[in-house]
Amino acid sequence: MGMIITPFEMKQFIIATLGLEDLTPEGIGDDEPLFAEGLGLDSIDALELGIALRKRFQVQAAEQDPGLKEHFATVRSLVAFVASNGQGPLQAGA
Amino acid sequence: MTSAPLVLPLLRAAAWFGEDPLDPLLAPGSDGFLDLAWGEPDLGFVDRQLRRRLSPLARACFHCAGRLGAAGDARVVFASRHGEAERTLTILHDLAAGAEVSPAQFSTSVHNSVPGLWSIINGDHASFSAVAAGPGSFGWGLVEALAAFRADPSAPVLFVYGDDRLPDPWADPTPRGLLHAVALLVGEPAAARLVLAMADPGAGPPQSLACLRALRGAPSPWQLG
Repeated sequence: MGMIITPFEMKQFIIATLGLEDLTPEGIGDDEPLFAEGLGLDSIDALELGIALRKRFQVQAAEQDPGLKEHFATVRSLVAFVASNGQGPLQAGA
Repeated sequence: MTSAPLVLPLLRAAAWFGEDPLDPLLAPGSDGFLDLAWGEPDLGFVDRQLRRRLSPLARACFHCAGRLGAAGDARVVFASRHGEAERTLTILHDLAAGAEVSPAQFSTSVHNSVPGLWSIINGDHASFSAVAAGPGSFGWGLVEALAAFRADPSAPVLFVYGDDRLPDPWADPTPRGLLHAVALLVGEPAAARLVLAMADPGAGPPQSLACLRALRGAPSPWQLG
């Protein structure tokens, strides 16, 4: 069973998890690349985000999953990833 | 115990406190040699992607180092008694609880993370060292900085000391626990000369505060020569 969270909630989650002190959810586009040339996140952020998603939504992210990079590409892809893999309590769902 | 005096030539100095140190001699302001401030650290020169990784200790140290305008060729000596103790303790608590450790916390928990991050933001490949020597960390850090300067007096040495209050139950309510940082640029031609003498670091006020008071003209084991 997946978990439904909105793109806005995912942005709030990313900002809080990574301490993006100068950013608001409105400042992040649903399809904006999160890493490198987009939001500018790096490999440590990717690890931090992976662990936080696992803690909060019980997302099972296999390190060998060839699609892992695509799942983490944008807010929209992360929302879809959690919707198909997350098993957390519905406290964050809409 | 006596030993020959060690004399540090100083070009400039800066200090920052997380809160009012409640000492009239340590009032905020600059006289062109010592720049002292408290409140919000000035980190406008740090890229915001890196700034978010900085601990309160790193912010305090970066504020002071930035005030000295020493980026570039200065070798760096960093000293701290407890370093990133809060991050280390958080990691230890997570491990003890069987929880996953935060990669961001882990990557900036080692004692040399402050000078390491400083070298990254400045694209600086000069050598640095990180000193921890108990309550005498400030003084032994100065000895390290003087040794580095004497090894090559052609370039200045940036000395940065900082400490943060330890989390409970280890917190020290005395001025020793105050979040603060001091940066001294060691080099010639000196605007002031600091004479070091051996003393018990466990007695009296914290060395860093005694040094600042000496730089502001107070009688102190830390003398201006």
